[in-house]
Amino acid sequence: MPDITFDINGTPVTIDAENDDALLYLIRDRLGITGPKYGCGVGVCGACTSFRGDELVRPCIVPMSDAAGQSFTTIEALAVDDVLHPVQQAWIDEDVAQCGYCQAGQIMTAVKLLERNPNPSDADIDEAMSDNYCRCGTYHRIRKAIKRAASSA
Amino acid sequence: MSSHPSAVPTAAAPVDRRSFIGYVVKGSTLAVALSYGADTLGGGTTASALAPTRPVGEVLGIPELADGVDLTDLLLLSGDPFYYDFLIRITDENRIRFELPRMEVGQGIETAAAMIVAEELDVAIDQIDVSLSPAEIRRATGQITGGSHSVASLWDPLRKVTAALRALIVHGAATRLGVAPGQVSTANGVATAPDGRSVRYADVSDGVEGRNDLARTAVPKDPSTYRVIGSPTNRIDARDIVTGRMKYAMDLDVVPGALPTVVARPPTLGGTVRSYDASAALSMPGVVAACEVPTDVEGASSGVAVVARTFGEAFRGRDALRIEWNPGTADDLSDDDIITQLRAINLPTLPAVPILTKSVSGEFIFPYMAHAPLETMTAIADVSGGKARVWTGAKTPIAAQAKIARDLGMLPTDVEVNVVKSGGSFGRRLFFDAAVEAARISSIVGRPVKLMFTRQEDTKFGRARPLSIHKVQATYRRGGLLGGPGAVLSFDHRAATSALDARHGFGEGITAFAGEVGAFGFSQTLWHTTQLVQYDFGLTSLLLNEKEFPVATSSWRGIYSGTAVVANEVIVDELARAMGEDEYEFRMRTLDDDRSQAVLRAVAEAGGWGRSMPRRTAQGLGLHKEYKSRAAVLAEIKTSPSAQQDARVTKMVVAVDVNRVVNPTGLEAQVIGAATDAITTILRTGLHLDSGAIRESSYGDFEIAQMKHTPPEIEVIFMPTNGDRPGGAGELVVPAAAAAVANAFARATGIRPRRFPLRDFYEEA
Repeated sequence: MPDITFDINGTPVTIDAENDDALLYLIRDRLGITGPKYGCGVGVCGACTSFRGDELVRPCIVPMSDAAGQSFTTIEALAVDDVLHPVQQAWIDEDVAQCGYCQAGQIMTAVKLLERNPNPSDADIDEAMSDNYCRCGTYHRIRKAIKRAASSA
Repeated sequence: MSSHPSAVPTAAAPVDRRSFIGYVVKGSTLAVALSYGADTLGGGTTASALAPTRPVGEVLGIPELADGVDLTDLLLLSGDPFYYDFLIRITDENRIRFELPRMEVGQGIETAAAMIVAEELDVAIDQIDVSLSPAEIRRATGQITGGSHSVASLWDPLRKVTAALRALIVHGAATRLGVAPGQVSTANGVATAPDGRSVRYADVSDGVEGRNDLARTAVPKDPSTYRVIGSPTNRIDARDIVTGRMKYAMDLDVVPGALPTVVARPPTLGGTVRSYDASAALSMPGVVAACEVPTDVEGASSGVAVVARTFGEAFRGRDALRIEWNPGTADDLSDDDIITQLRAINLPTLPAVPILTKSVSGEFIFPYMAHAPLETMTAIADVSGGKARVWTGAKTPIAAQAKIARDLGMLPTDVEVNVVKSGGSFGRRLFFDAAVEAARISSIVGRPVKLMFTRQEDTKFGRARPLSIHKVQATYRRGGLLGGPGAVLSFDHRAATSALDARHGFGEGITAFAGEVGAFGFSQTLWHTTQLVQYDFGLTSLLLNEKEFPVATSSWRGIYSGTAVVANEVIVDELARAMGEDEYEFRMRTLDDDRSQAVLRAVAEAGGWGRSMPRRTAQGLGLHKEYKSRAAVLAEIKTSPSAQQDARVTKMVVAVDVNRVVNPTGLEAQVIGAATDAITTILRTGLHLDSGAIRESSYGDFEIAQMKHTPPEIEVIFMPTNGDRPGGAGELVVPAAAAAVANAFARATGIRPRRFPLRDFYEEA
């Protein structure tokens, strides 16, 4: 089993893993980083959405061979020194969450949407957010929180 | 946890409510245990006031029992003897630790309960730490989360108990400060004398222990003085959620060495292991154990479990298993077979209509529907040394405890069931399949396990809202000819459903009490205490028949109403049109309920009912009464002339009357969530049974509503407070919203919606 080295939340990690192991289970079950959730395991629901460098990724379908040498950021590292990211704050202000299980992925996706489009329209939000599933039906408040974060930036 | 013996009702002996209701307040500095009758607590409603006012025989003579006694009554009555049992501690740090004997699945009950505590105790909401109570046998039917009764059932007990606690604090503080109790003011966990000297609640204990007399005379606050209840309040766990700190069952590190575990399932429902070879699996990296999981006596689970260092390794091990399967129990069954068999058992509607009357009728078909919470079924179990410890998201933890004990041959008192906040339920977590299976696997492999159903298992081998068919027929006389408006002469609803499994404990209290209202089984009780026609439609009768199929079921948000009420409301629209009347005016004219008229009027006015709309778009109405509450929905839909593009609900206006709103922010979330469910169930998706296998497997093909399917515009209206006790809200809006979407679709396309999800059967959807 090869040793694979990557960065997660600013910390370098070397771990023995198979090349085709999915990143999600390594970080959750062996590193104890549990913010990204298992929702489907096949990259559909978005509950594990995190960053690889500057891009959105779904760790449940990132093989360790692709993780080697990369830098990942999970929801746990979005707030810096306990100061919330404006998107996290907007999520609290709009009281978006219900069960909360999908929200890490929703927030990470919204952060990247606002980085590339600081003032998204409803259609832009539909486009960017539709592949993050929420079974509680918090979409309406997600939309409001994104607009709130956009106007506070 | 320990408690004063005299304060603890036990499940073993019949409980005399008057002498045994008690509560426990315990802490390092303030420790009080009291026992007294609920009706000595002063003010407010007790169970006897909830009882049906009409004689039982008279109630039973009316087809719609729900008009007299409804599900909410039954839940409150059956749980009442146990509802006063709370654990509240005041810590040395002057924080309030409150153990909630309900389950949080996103519905916001922790926050609503904390608001009640904050109100009555005069503490800030952020001084309260809420945890979920583990299964406590003594709570019997008082520790169930379901049927939208949590706020209603906490309302009197929690206010009275916390008012009593505040009375004790005030008297203790008065002694400490050397003033009369009436001179002590309380706020933010501090009691203050008129001269400004103060004492923290945590430092008050002298002279109050055992002062039952103080507790007996304590009265909850006058609602006109509320500063917390009724004020918009954000979730108390919001920060934990947005920072990723919230711990769901699979995130917990409570048992060292509990390893990820998954189960290989058979190709079809009810299949069993004939033989298996785990040698290849056991040689895979990280895999530490494999075992057969015997068929559950209640039909929930069977297969071969693999325990590994990570879930990824467990999946790989599972895929390396070589398993020979026996046939399943449903291999000859597909949806159409079930529909045929349900038609055969559906009771007939009333016989032929008299001369001069016309009729409107339809048969409606709703598919099996997965609950599909984002967090699948999960549980941690550690079975060792004759004891079992389990951590899981159970809404009926006492039933889970009993089932696990039975399964492992232990006493319930040797089984600890810790309740963990979970990622959604929608009815799914009334059952605890994963907890039972995890305990079984742990006992077989001899080590603690973390069991998770994969999404695919949860969809294919989970539970589902029962498939159901509904024949609805209304007869009417048109107006005009003989003068005056037309009249509906009869309204018949005959439902035949795949049987609803209720062996989760939710039914035990109800059926025990239902013996007093009629000789019904659980499903019939549930049906007759939830189903009614709230229009003046002459002779009405609503009847249910059901048949067992080897497909596991569980109540789905809205129980029977999510389907039955849609069928009724679609026929109401068709009746109005057949009688040449406007769908809104017709409802208003025939409704026999002021509160329903008020919510309907509210959405019609706010939503501009009847406004001119472009082609292929339309408004639709839906109305529902249940849980002592009312809901009306006006939905606007944009349909597509072909299957090129999905129909979209473009706007929703919802009005609810829940008597009293505890948390407007939380209630609005429940309303919008339930409205979103309507889009999922009416327009988008359902399960299909093909020769014993569920066709769908994940969100890729069980297509719940996504952002792009939901209306950008949603308006929620709360009716003014019109009663003391809050009505139910969590499921309330599902039926009204589902009906509104179906009716909007019908008005936009001219198609009569009969089979759901609509887009499977009508191109325009």
